[in-house]
Amino acid sequence: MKKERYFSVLVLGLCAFWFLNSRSIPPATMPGAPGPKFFPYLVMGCLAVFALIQLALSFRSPKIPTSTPVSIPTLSPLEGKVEERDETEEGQEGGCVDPDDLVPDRRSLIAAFLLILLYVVGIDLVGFYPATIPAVFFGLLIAMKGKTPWHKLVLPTALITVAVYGVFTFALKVNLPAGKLW
Amino acid sequence: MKRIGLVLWVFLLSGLLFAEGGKEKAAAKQKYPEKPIEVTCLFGAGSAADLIARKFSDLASPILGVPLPVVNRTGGGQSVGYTYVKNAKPDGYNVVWTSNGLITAYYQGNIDFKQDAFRSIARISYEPVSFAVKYDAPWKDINEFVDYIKKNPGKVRIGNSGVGTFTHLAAAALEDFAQSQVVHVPFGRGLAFASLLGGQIEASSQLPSEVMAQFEAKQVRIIAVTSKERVKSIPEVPTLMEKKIPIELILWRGLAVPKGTPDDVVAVLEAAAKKVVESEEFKKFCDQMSIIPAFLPAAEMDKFVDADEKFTGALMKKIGASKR
Amino acid sequence: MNMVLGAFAQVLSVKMLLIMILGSFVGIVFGAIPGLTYSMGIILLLPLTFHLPPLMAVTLLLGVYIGGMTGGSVSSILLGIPGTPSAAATCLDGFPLSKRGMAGKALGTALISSIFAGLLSVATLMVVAPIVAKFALKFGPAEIFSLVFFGFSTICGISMGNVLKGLISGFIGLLFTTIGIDPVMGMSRYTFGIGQLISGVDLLAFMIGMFAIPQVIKILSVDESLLTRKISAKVSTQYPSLQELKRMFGLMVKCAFIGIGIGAIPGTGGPIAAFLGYDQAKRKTKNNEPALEGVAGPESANNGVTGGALIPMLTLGIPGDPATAILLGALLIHGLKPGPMLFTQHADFIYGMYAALIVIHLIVLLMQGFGIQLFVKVLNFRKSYLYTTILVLCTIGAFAVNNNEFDIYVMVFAGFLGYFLLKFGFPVAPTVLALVLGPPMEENFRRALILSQGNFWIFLQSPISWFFYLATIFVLVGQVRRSLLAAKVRKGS
Repeated sequence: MKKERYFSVLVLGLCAFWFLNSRSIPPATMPGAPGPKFFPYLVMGCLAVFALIQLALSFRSPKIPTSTPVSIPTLSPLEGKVEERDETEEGQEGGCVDPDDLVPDRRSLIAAFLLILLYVVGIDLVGFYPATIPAVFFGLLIAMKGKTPWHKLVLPTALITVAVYGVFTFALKVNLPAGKLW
Repeated sequence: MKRIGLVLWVFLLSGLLFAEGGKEKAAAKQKYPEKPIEVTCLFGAGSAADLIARKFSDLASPILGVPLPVVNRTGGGQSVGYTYVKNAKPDGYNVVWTSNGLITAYYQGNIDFKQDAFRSIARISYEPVSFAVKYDAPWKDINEFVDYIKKNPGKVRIGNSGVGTFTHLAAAALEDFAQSQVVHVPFGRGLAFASLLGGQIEASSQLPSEVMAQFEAKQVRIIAVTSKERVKSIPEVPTLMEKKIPIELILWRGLAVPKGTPDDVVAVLEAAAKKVVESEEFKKFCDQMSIIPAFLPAAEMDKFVDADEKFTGALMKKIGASKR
Repeated sequence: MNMVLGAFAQVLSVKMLLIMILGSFVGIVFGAIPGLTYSMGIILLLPLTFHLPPLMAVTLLLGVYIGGMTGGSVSSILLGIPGTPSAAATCLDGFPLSKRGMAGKALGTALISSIFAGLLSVATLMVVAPIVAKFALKFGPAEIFSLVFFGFSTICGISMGNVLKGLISGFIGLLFTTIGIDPVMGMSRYTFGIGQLISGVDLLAFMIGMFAIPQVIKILSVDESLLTRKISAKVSTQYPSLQELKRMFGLMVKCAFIGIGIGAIPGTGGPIAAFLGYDQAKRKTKNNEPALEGVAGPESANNGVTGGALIPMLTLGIPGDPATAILLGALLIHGLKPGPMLFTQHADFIYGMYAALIVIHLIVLLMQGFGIQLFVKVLNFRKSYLYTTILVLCTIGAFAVNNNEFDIYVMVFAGFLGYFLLKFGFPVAPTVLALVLGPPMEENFRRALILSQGNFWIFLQSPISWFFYLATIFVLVGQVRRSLLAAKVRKGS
């Protein structure tokens, strides 16, 4: 299948990248023991082999016809295969709708990535609280997708920030990043 | 109207937070210390370095009137912590616990700066390295052990706390004296003596506090220490010098701040350090941990570190542990 | 007998009870919040202990330790984000179970397994500590390597049927463990010119990122309104039935002992035990469906580690895991030196500690037990608010481990990596497992060879190593058979 093919290629690329960076590692100086290059080479080698096998397998057409016509890629953190969910049963009995069964909206997806990236850079540059306040605000904004007017999100933002402050800085006295710009 | 109110409210809140930060900066210009002083420890919580740091902070805090939280900045062969403090503002609110580790880290290539990136506050303590063997080992003293090493080149295994650490250095110096190859097995976090007890290594080179419990329980014997004089908590253990082995090594610990810290700030910290080291409680603590209190004021400490850098650097080059 | 009664009397004083409650509370909270760990809790409370008498000091910290180890399951189950590395394996079945409305049962199972295993480990500590300690010493580098190698083989068990993908994920993780200073020689590897990478990739930051961030991204990017379906309170807070518990009893005992053993071996800790426990659970249920066993196994194992780790700490002064290293420090500060002397000279302290351990477990059981009703309500929050807050908590957690801003970047990187792994259909758990097991594997492998001076036979010299290698082969064979069988079944239908 296509996605496995792409991924295998990426993995092979990763191995190559790692290999190129190995050249600067000095050889072993302790008698008898393998040096610092041994383990990385071993891992790279095995990984490359696995990726090649995966690549080969991805060209094989799936022999087993899937029972559901649409396979939604799941984002459960731990399952590695495509899951076929039977929505009717679980939905009724008190389980929540699994977010993994919903398809993300492309714009929000990109926005989410950007937000997280900018948030972290922000923490580094301006400090934790100055970065968190806009991050939470925009995070909520993205999540609500225009369904909630922005001014209604101000209060939750403030509450979350104050709660975090209260618990971490005030009560637990946890050190939080101070920001490089000042 | 309501919207504007809410928005103003949020801005007010953020404004307050900013003001907090600003207030702190303004306060710093007044008497020192005005706010907590962050003390960086280069090793993990629970280690000897960490324990002495915490005890010190505990005793110094009432003297200085502010808390001295210990922050563990570990990793990178001590580079993470040293780099952090080196780059911090020289306003006396960032102090680092330093030791010979600064020099060994430099010669190992973990950091690209030496002690001149810092300004000493004071030396606080000494700790010797101790060589330990299993209780039922055949060598009754260090000379017998050295003879064994001479007769069995490449077969004797001495554990230490990591490549390039001070304990490794001590073992390497012993090897150099014996002129016979020793296998240095690096462990971390004091795990060396687990292997000692398990019989996988012949001897271990560690700080006494790390083997004290086993020593008292008669599971290991400490056959020598590397200091000039015998250690109070283990008075029956001879020094290497006594046994005619010309090695004298001592791990020192001290406090330092980034270069450029003003004199008056240094003076305040130095005075507090002196009080702590001379206190009964600190002395008792040191006795328990096999640490020797050894206060040296700032100016002399700078000279001391410079001298030690030359000595240790030369030693490391001689035994091939230096990468520079 | 007098000693024992005296110990309990000591421990049940008002002051002590307050201390135990405080410690347990801090532990549970730190364990339950994703991003914060009990180690952090212990470090935070450490200064408080300086001025307390030894037994109180140690009891406070023990409360945090046990509370934390037990509380870690809460966020694993409810949010799919491990509260502590030791709870990573609990997510695997716990989170899917909670999504299916069985949060209460999962939480209850986790709690009961934890307390049960914890008490069992305390009992072992009390009765056979010296024997276990002696046995643990027989684990030299070669033996530890074989143990960790075996642990790594359980990757197959958690790849949900696709061994190849699991191996790829796992080895990608191994690749990341090579970043930083080489554990034996101290030489820099793969730092790509970034200074902060010199100490490698921080496990906790990476793990938080990998589990949490993909979910945050997902929640932020899907249609919120479809997510707000309230859970029927009755179903979610159901506790596991007595029958279900009885069914899992044998598993709990087995995994508890696995935990005790691993805790006792210096240099290994909670996460390894948890994954092994999970593997045992899956072996029992013989299928890949999320089941309560999948929660009982890891939780028994990780709490078994608590008592187990205390064994070498008290008898030999060797910490069994990072948290006990701090506990050890606390003991030393109070002038109590671990070792046989501790048991003879300070017997009252030891017995006091045993009594405290037992009472702490009961306190945690009560606290968390009542807490379950509360915790489950978390699931009712609007997901957008919840996950945005989680994003903030995770950055705090990632930073607070080492007070290093760089770790937050690591978290984000791991998060994006995790997102793409999942997008392409690859499991994420093996990557985390690799980060946990990679360093000890390499370290012990090379240390063993240094000891033997290049002689590879050292790996086959001890019966312990043989045991683990055979176990590995057994596991792999079983795994391959299972996937072949599954393929056959799929073909047939």
